[in-house]
Amino acid sequence: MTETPDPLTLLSDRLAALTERASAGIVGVRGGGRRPISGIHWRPGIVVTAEEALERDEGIEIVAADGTRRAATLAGRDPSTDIAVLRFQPDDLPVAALGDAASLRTGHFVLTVGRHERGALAASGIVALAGGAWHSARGGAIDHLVRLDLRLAPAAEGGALVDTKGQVLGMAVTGPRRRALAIPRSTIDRVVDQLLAKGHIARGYLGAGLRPVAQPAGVLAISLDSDGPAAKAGLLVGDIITAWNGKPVGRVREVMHLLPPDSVGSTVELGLIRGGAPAKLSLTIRERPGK
Amino acid sequence: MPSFAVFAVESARRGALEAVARREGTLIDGAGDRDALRRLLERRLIDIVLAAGIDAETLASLTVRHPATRFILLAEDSEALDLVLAGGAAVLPREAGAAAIASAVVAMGSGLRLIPDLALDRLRALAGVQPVATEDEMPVLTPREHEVLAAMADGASNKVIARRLGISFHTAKFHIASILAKLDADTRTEALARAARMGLVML
Repeated sequence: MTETPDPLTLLSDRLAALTERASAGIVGVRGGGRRPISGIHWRPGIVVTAEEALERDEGIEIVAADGTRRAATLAGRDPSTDIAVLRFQPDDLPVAALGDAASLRTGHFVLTVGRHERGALAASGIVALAGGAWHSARGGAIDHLVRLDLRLAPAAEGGALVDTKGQVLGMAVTGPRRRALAIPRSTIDRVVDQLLAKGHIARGYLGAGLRPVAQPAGVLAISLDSDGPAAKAGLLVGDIITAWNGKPVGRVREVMHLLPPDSVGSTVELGLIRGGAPAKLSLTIRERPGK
Repeated sequence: MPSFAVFAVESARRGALEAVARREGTLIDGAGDRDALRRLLERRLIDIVLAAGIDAETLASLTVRHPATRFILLAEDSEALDLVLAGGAAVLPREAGAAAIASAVVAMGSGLRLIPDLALDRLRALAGVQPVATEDEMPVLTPREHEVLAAMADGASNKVIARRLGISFHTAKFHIASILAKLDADTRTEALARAARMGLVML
């Protein structure tokens, strides 16, 4: 007589197997500070990790599942999407099995898998909110909003978001108000390509300190970088920017979102209120000056 | 010593202003009506006119004709903006005393203009600007914190900030922690987003 398997035990074993399989491509990242974080072996010799949590730029080590350590160098950081990319000499270390986060829906069951110095570090929950493209607080364009209904251990930051097929759909990070969220795979792919090619992500720059004003709705220039494009084009402190290429702007955040990497070099037509009267100004966005 | 002319219709008032003018410079003469003031300005070189109760239209005709002469006006707040636009160098409250007039003389000497608060509000309204509610108090950052914030805005890591400002790694972290606390932020990203909204970092 065969015994009917207990569904709870089945589920439990399945989760453990998923975690173990996914964790092969997850590394620990020792990047300074007291706490190690996690990273995903994204492509051979390329690891992605959480930018904000990675303190150091040099002397970084990755720790594999078998405890072996490898020296890694920083290929670049993108604070706007919370992605840092590391390079190491590729060897037989397994690469994570990647899947597409676009299929995620609110309510889907997911795991996060990081690497603690004592082994894989897992958490489970559901997708609290699966939404469309959004902009981070620093203006980074992120393809899908994936907010997670779980608590992310600090050591698991930079680890993987894993679905029930064991595919890595993105990177688990701590977002605003300490909420766990995931940066989707397609966004990571894009940022990895740019960081590997250029070492940094270009950001558009106006060279103006802005504050919102209510009436007329717009953003008021309260300071100017004398070498910045805004000052060079003739923007004055006290000017209120009310429109950007004909579309109204009323919040500083909107202006941030209008300065993505591909805005560099483009010319924008600003609608202004200067001394109470409408005016126009055209300026060419420059790349944010270096570090 | 600047040369003064005084204008006031009432003689008691004129006398009081003449006393102030004598203290601040050389009083050339006082005038009790507009024509007397006009004649005085044609005849003599006057640096400063101290005038109570002059209307904007009269003032405009005088400032056009005598661009080198500066006018200190004692007037109602409601007239202040019109008087400034008519070329007045300083507008003081009607009841301004000797001390206020003396400070106006000093300010004008430095090339400054003086307008009362109420006129500023009207100026804002005229420019169509309404000040945004200042509920999010601007945090007061130290000059060093401003530099660290600017470096953070450029995407610099702690290490790079330390190197750029010539401070130790730990000092950089200390400044960042202080900035986060002042901006009531949990993370650098949150701090930068708030700072940008307050105009503390350039976009």
